[in-house]
Amino acid sequence: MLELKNISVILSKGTINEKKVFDDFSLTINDGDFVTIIGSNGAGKSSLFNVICGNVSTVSGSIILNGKDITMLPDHKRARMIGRLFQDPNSGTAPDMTIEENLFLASGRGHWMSGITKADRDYFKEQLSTLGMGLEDKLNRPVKLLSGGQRQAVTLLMATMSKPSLLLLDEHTAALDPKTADVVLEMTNNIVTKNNITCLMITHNMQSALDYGNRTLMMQDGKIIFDTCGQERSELTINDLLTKFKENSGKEFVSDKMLLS
Amino acid sequence: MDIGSLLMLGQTALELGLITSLTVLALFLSYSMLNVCDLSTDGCFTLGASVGAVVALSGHPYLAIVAAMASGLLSGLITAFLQTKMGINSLLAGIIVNTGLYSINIAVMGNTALINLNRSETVFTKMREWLEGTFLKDQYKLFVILIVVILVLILLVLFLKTKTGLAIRATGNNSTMVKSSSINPVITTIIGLSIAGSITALSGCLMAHYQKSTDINIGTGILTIALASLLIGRTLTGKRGLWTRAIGSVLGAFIFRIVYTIALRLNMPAFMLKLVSAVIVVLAISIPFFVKNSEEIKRKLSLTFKKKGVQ
Repeated sequence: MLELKNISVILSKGTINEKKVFDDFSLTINDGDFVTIIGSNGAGKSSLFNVICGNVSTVSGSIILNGKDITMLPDHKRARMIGRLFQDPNSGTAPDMTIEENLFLASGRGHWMSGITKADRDYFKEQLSTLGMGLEDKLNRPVKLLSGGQRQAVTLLMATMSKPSLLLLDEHTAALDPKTADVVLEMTNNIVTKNNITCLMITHNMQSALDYGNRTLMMQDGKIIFDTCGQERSELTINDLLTKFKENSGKEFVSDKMLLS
Repeated sequence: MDIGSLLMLGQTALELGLITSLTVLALFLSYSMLNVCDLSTDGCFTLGASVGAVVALSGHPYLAIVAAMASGLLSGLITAFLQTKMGINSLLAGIIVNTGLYSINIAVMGNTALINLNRSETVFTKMREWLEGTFLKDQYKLFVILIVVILVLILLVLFLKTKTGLAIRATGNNSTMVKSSSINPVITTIIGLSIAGSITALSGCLMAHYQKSTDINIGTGILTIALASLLIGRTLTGKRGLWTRAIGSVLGAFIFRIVYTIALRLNMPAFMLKLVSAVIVVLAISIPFFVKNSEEIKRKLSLTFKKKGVQ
């Protein structure tokens, strides 16, 4: 379970660019939830992830993951419990290193002075074959030679292989072509549901926000303006979401990207 | 010039090339893998030479190697600490440590700028005694250097294939990814630079024992020489496997030495070495850059000439 209690975050504090991103923000995510998050640019979606991951520090409030207070834990230590994918397929992998080397670093297998063994390779092959991209035969290929979709798939595997308590997906299919995006999204859904991983997914695609997961949050100006799940959510359409947005924020949901996708 | 003296020259070039190849391997770790240009390399090389000479002078030639490596490790550790924990830019951290090491080196050598090892036992004289009467007795110097270089090369490449080694490579390649794999990039930088420092110091120690002397300027310019060698090696091997690249770095050091020896034979004065190495570094870095952008440069040039034609 993830709990954000009365979080306040101020960016560039003390400068002319000072911006209050969150003010007394609270959110609770239950175990096994797959939450989709929508909202226009600058709504605080990515900042929310930065706060959870520890890239941005809070001014007040506390973050509790599985009963443990992680408010003051540095980012690389939180990474043991939290997997994260970004929009840019290059950000999650080391491009000059091979697929197996990338996987080995993320897998938590072996100790600090151990090399990649045959057992590791077999395990990676088995894991890669679940992606259905034929990557299991390319263990020794540098990641930079893979396509964006393949890279994102490898990153997804890296983030989920060590069974994290929480998976954060920051528009991880936005940089892919529509067909590949669907493949990666479907793959994500499979991995998340199969392993019962608690997951938060930011998306600009209203339809996938409703199609995937069991709860949807709509954010605006660092606040959650609409939170839906269960029966109510399953009956929602894109138009309903747009109406809700207008009702709750008093503005039009202006994003061509969202309407067109 | 007869064949005999030519062979002699080749042999010296090989030996000196192999000794500097250790520094090249250190840069292979810090520069190619960790993506940090460690500007303390010059001082660290001199530190290894000073410590190695002083300990050998006190009658412990083998301990000299260990002591030199330990001192280099410490120097690398400080450089890494400054840039990861004290908020100092990595280039600046290297320069600062390099400056500080000048005083340390003079202090280590006992307030002088020159140490003579002519009468003292070194790892080379030890090896000469040891090989007395065998067919290798004339090649004792090469023998020592080869053992050390091969050992360092194998250990380094094997290390780079371990999880810690992979983490070091990933830190230089994509540090965001390292953090999200729950590895602390501060630790990998510290480990990488410390090991690179100890290899650099080992290189300096061997150089002092080889020349039977050391002075405060023994390491001046070694970074540029090693960088030139590293880049020559990279041009030779391209971006292949680790083994090929590491061996390429050693070959690069040897080739650089050959070029330098030939230049000396053509009556180039010895003091020109640093300039030659500087030029090689410039060429090795900028030629691939120009090749990569050749189309764009051609287009720009042709447009410029067209404009002039109109006027």
